[in-house]
Amino acid sequence: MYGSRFLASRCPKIPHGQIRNDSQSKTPFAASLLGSTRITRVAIAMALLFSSAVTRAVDPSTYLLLPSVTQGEREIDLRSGWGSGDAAVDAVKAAGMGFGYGVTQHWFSEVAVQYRRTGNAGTEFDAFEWENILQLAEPGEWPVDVGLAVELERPRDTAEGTGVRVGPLFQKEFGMMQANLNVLLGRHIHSAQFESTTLSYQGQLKYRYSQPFEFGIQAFGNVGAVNRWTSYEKETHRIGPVVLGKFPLANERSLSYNFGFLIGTTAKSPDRTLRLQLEYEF
Amino acid sequence: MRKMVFGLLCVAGLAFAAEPEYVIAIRDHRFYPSELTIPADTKVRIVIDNRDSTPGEFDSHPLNREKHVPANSKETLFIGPLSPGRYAFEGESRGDPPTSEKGVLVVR
Repeated sequence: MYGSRFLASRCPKIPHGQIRNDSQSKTPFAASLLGSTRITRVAIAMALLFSSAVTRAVDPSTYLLLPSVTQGEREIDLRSGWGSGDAAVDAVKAAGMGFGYGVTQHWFSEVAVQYRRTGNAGTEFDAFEWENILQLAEPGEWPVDVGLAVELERPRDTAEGTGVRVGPLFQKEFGMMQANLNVLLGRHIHSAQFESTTLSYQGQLKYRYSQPFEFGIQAFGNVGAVNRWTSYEKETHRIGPVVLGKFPLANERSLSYNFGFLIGTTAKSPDRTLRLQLEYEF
Repeated sequence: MRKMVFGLLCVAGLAFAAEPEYVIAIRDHRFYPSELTIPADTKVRIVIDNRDSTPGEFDSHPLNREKHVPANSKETLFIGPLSPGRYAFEGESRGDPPTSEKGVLVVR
């Protein structure tokens, strides 16, 4: 799919990571000392809410969402990423696999499982995700292509509630250039830990040089709670080069790739993020 | 105020409805015509009319469009405005045996 979703670098879907407070991953020892009582959970939740370190860990396997949909197209989506760690953020590895289907000309739906490894902890199941893309008009019909993303996430940690992420997806072509901008609002429902609605963005500017090789720049960021703006240094912003492409296979099948290297621009962002996504469409 | 809103809606409606329309048919897994000429610097509407009993496809990297067309149905594409040149497109059918067909959009 062109401009395809793959190349998409969609954010860790309701970025479990983006919404999760970093300090959460740094308190397993305290949690083990206190046990898993209700008091412990409340104490941890309070600590998270009032923590001055409002950093949100980013998901290194984040990918860009695109507003276009191809009816009848099925895809198996594999993505992984690695975010470097330092004094301010933990190193994170994340991987996921999803199955998507173009249900109609205007609705694409994908279910996925996400795994995650933070710091020296073991790899663990992170969340179930359900992503939906609504294409609001045919590509090129409006001056700017517009779609709508609606994502649900059920984290392994049920105390986090159900994550919801909603927002418009914009795309504009300038000859062989393509620009994308997504503005997404995220919130955890029935969560004992997260109450705020967060604002994140995704952006891309790419040159569609050829089908197997396109290149450009992508950016991802989370500016935090919409009702409590933090300073720039406490936000997460990453930007860097990306290469993408698609190889058509026989019988309407294709294999797409999307490889990016992102550089963090704030103290709370991973200095370096490597991201790889493969998509088999059939 | 109502008149102004009505006027704006009319202008918007004209803007969205003004594109010249072209039709490309898919028959026996081939495009008809396989070469279509459209004006430069003009947004056009292209209707892909699949007259086969199997799904068809219109796919073009230069045009940044991919469209699956169910059997015996039509789908609409919006293309341009484009600079003069030749823009290749192709289609594929899952028929037995699967077939592939190519075409070109000539912009003048």
